[in-house]
Order: sequence, then C-alpha cells, then structure tokens
Amino acid sequence: MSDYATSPDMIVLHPADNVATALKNLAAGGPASLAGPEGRLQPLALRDQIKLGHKAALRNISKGELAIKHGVPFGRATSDIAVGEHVHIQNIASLSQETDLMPRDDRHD
Amino acid sequence: MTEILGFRRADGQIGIRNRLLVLFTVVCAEEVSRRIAYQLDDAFIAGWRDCTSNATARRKMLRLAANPNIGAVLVLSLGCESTDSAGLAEEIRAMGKPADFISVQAAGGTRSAVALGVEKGRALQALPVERAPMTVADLIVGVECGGSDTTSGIAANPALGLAADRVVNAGGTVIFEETNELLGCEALLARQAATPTVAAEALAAIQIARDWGARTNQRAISSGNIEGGLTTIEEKSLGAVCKAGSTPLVGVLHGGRWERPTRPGLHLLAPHYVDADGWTGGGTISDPNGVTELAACGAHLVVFTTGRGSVTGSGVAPVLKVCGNPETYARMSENMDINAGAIVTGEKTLREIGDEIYTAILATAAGRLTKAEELEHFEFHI
Repeated sequence: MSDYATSPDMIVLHPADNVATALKNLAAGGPASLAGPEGRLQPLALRDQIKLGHKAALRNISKGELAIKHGVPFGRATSDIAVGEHVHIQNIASLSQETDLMPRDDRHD
Repeated sequence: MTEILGFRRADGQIGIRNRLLVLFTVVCAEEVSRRIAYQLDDAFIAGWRDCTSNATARRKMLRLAANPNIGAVLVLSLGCESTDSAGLAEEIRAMGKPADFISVQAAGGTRSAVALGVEKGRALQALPVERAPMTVADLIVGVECGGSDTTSGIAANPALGLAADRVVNAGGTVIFEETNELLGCEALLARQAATPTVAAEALAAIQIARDWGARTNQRAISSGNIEGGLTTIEEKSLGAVCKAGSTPLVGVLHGGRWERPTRPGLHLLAPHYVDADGWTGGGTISDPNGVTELAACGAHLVVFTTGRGSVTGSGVAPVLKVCGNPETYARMSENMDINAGAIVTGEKTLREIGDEIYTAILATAAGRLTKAEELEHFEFHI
C-alpha cells in the first residue's frame, strides 16, 4: 500500500534502477521522498536542483557504468556520478547511434 | 475470478462482444450506413472512403470483419464504386461470418436503403449465437498510447506493462505496435525475443520505422524531449515500450496483413509503411488507426494510455483508457477508465495500478462497457 502524507517527490520505476525521476520541480539539498514500484523507499538527499521529469542518481555511478531505468540500461556514465546528482546529457551517453535521424535544424555539429 | 461468457464464432474463436459491423465501401454510402447503425443496438460503422479499390483497404476490412467481437457484417455500397462490394460480402460469408449486402442505388435511395438496412441488420442480429466460457488464456489484448506526456513513461505505461505481464503469465496474448517508438531499443528487443528468428524479425520491423523516419524527417529525440529530462533515445523509447511488459517476445506480426497471433504470448505488430501496394507513406499514424490495426489483428480489447488526454474508441475492440496525468484525469474523467495519476500523487503504487488495469481487462472481457463504449466512441481508420 502507498503510505504518503503528501505526494512523493520522485519515483523509482523498477527495483534494478539506479536513477529516480522527479515528479515535481525539486530544489537542491532537501531529502526527496521516493515512491517505489511497491511502496515508499528511503528519501534521497539531492546534490542538484532536479526539475520535473529529470533524474537523480540513487547511488554512486562510476564512469563507464550503465544507467538503469525501467529495469533496463538507457545509457552509460561518461563521468563519475555521485548519489543525489543530476543524471542527464552532461554525464550520460546514449548506447545507440541515432544522430542520423536528427533533423538538420537540430544538429549541433 | 470474473466469469467471462463470450460468443463463439464459426472459426472457433470466442468474442467478448456481439456487434454488427455496418461496412461501407465508399464515402458516398457512409451517411446511409450511419443512419442504419443509429437505429440498431450494438451496431457501428467502419469503411473505406475512396471510390478507387485498394487491396490493403480490402484486406483491413476483411480482417476487421474476422475479429471475434463481430457477430455479423452488413456491407453498404453506393453501387458504382470500384471496390467489389458484393464480392467483399461473399468473402466475409466464406469466412463463416454472417454477412449481407445493400446497394443504395438498387435499394431506391436514402429512405428505402436505410429501411432495408435496418431490416437486414435486425435479421443478422437475430441469428442464434452460442455462448462459451472464456479465460484470460483466450484473450488477445492490444496495448497502445496516444496524447502522451511526461507522466506516460513514469506512470501509465509502466503500470500497463505490469498488467500485460499478468495477461501473458496467465496464458493470454498481448500485441504492441508503434515501432517508431522502439528506436534505440534494438538490443533490448533482441534480448527479449524468444528465438533468434523473432529477434531478426523485430530488428527488421524497427529498420522499417527507421527508414520511414529518415524519409519523413521525423525526429527520434528532440531538444524539447531533452529539456523535459529525457537523456537518450533509448530512455524515451523505453518509456513507451515498457507498456508491453517484460515477457519474452514470441512473435512479430506482419504489418499490412494484420494476421491473428497463432500462439499465446507477447507479439509486436510491425508497421505497414511498405507493402505489396508500395510505399504508403504518411497518414498512417493516428490513434484511431493504431487501435484499428490492433483490432484487425484480432485484439478483443485495447488498453490505451494517455497523459494529455484521448477520446478514441473502437466499435470492434473495446478501448480501456489509462490516464497517467492527475490533472488530465480530473478534467477528462468521463473519458478515462483508470486513474494512473494516483501513482504521481502517491495515492497508489505502480503495482496497485497495474493490478487495477488487469482487473479492468477481465471486467471488460466479462461485458462491462468501457468509458469509450458508453460514449459510443467508435472511431476507425481503413
């Protein structure tokens, strides 16, 4: 059963995940309450501001390690990521090569 | 355990509805078809609007007629379109499904065609049909999303994935499509495939979507996606494909032939941008088309996730709406069957909403009308 007095700040979608996704805009510092697939998880202290839909590391992720969401890898860490840090394009690279599908006006080359 | 009492068809399949499909073969007969369907219970229209004949459209109409939820078909022709309408009715009868045919021109115009249609429709509906018990193992469930937003990938789709796993683990069948949302998930799909052949077929389906994206300049991941927090193409795709669940992929259905799965388990319906008639190009991507294609593959019902809101239904396969955005749910609750926004507000867990979806699938199969059915949202796309 869910047991929140207030709505959770972030959600973890799968037990194997090493990232949580923000359900609201969150400031750096304060512990974020976490919804897990089956109930509440331990709160997460955030190192960065995390906006709605963005992700934070649930534990330390070493450079070269896979980032996991939905229980599945969605990228590889390009630098060491500390627990509570913002996980995004500045520290994650895609595992696939999709640039050929980017329209011209979206290319930054 | 919900008891499901279905309708047995001549080919041995069992439907969860017993609907009359009023099938027009040119737009000129659409209005007459609609007036006939309005006067009958459990009747709805679908059809092909163009005056030209088209092999793909004909195949899609036949596949819809073959869906086990369809008890009988009334084919409506103006009388001079290129499609062989009488032949279509004959082919439907040859499948073992009761069918009849009306030409508006031969019937003598609007009023007489409507009166004749209502009479023939009632006669088709009066044919006896055997009731037969069903279990989840007999069910084919389509999964689809549309009007997606940030909540789709973190609430509605993961919850639907848990329900899809329960359907397959109980011996049932799940079909997903939207192959254009599988880009970047090649390795995942290959791992999820039950055999190397299925893996190769899934990769070929994704390649079709990739080629289509290149031709139409469709972006895989946009700067807006990245601003919204999606980091990679595979993360974006995972948020969509997770609605299919995590059971082995046991088959890939050919897009454009819309064949029924021949074994239980998880199936991918390949896109039909290319088929025997050549490149079909754009115009094939819409919510009603996705639902129609799943129904053409024999889906008994479709579970449809949304965040921004969708009203799409189907006369062939009942559509269950799962809304992941709590604000949209509050605003459009008359269209929504399940509030997956409760995951976002913390009132329910993913697991609880997954169980709610599974229970709703059983209740819908047992005869409970979905919101889209109550509202008579019977969209189609041939």
